[in-house]
Amino acid sequence: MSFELSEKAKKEIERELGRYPVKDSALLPVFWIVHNERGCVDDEAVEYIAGLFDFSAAKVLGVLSFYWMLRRKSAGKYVISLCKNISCYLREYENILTHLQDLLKVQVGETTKDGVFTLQLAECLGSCGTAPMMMVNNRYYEDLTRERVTELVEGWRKEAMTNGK
Amino acid sequence: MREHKKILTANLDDPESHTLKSYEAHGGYKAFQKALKEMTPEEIIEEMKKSGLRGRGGAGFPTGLKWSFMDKKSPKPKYLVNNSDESEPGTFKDRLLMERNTHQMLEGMIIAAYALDVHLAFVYIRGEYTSCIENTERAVEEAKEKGYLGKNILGTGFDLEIIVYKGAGAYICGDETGMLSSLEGKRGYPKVKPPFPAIQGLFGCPTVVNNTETLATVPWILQNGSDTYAKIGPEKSPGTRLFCVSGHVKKPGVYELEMGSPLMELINDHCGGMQNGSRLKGIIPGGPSVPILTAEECDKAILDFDSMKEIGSHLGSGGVIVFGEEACMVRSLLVLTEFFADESCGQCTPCREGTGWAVKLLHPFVEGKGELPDLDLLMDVADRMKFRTVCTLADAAASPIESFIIKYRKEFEDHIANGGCASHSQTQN
Ligand SMILES: Cc1cc2nc3c(=O)[nH]c(=O)nc-3n(C[C@H](O)[C@H](O)[C@H](O)COP(=O)(O)O)c2cc1C
Ligand code: SF4
Repeated sequence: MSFELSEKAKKEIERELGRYPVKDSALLPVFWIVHNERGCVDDEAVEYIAGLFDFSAAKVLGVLSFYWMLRRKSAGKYVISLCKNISCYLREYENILTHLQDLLKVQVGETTKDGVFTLQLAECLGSCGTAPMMMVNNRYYEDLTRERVTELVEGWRKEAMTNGK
Repeated sequence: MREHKKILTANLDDPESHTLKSYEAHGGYKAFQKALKEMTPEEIIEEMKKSGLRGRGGAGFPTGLKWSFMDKKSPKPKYLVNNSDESEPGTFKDRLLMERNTHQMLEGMIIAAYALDVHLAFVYIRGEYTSCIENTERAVEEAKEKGYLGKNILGTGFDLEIIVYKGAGAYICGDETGMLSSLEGKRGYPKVKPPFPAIQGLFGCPTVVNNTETLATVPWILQNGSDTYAKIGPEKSPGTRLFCVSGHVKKPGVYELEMGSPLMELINDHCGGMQNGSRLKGIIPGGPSVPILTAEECDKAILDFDSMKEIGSHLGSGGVIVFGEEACMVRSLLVLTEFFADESCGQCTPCREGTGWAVKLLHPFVEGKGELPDLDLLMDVADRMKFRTVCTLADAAASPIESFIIKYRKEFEDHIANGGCASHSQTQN
């Protein structure tokens, strides 16, 4: 499989590479551009990015692995990150977690067989006043109840069936 | 309810409060014009010193003083970094500012940049805050179109570019030197200080890092005068502050109160008291990096930097986390300790190993298999983590361990006696 990015992504990368006093600063923004397009920064992408910066792949991987949001392998179409930190714990996120596990039939860290959902736990996402909460891809869903979660998951399931994965 | 002055949230009732139009309609973008046209950088720094404003990022360092440390004579470019990484658990105030009062934050950055001879500034926003990133990018564009950013701002000859930089999920990048490493395209490792960023910061150049709320306060001070600001609240901790309340209260949320207010005024008058008639067990007043206060201590607690120190805690990040009687303090401590273990960058042995061991030691207590000597061992581990690491995450991690075990020791002992948690209700809300 050859590594190819869209023209739009290439343009964005070009802009980032020339934007900072020191080119290295563009590394994180370039990760994001690739991640947005491919859903992950896989080994091929690492090689490609290393080439852009004249870094070793090891150096690129070292930075990449520092950040939890950047994944190295693609995941489900909907990545559910349920907050497990203190304010969500006090507002019983665990009820939501068991409910999600029942609905999706996966454990934390797993992706559903159809590739639609990945379930993971996250540290505090800054929605403590509206706990419990989850981030799905890059959107926040707050003040969660079991009913709301059921509705949301069913909606995404339908969406995935009509639009394909 | 007692009235509080509003400096940061005065116009948030306006659904368009995040737009330049609304901000200007409410008197915004006047302070920076005054600053650029009528004041010298030295005069601005002097005003900031006189205002007594202390940083809202956690440490409470005087802002004017920090600005005065910037190495002005350095021939290198100088940088300003707005710390919008907001990852301290229980803290969600900078998010409110970026979502709803974006231009006040930008105006503060423009004034700071002018005072510090900065021509390129960054807003480093945690990657999870998508709406904040979008809003801030839009606000920067709006300000550019208006000629408030870019070249020769308002014909004064002052140039400033602001770049919105998206983080990718790492609490440690909220530490100012961790943030600089991250901005430099490296792993977000904190750096040994000195040298301090004001002398040698981003790319080795003089740099000031300020919290979002700190910067958003700056326009008000210049507009209304440092003496007006200094008169709000206690002499050594003046002004207002955003308090983020979460946990077992009726109305969690962000509240702007004058410094020096009683903690229980925030909880009872603003948050409507405890939820479901629960009894208060304790409050973490400034994010889990600071020690918890028992219910008795809360009755005496005053929300300002020095009063909090006097009763053995800290105002920290403004994250006020409220524990009702239904909270299991053993589980809560494990949750917090796991957080610090997850987020330790691993550079320093006491932090990397200490947080990991503390988690291992705490698990058996939650499962009802803990043993008494392990409580002392936990205290010992916490003690050995402190004051010997590159950044203060290790000290932060020690603070819940020590304060929970000292103040709620009986709950830990009960877990041993009962083979687990007896009190922890699993009721659904
Ligand atoms: C582990 C750690 C995490 C931190 N996280 C934040 C943060 O999310 N936001 C913030 O403004 N300051 C944070 N700080 C404090 C910053 O290092 C720095 O003191 C602050 O941004 C300075 O701004 P101020 O002077 O305006 O308060 C953190 C510090 C440490 C040690
Ligand atoms: S104290 Fe912990 S988080 Fe801070 S630099 Fe050392 S290992 Fe990293």
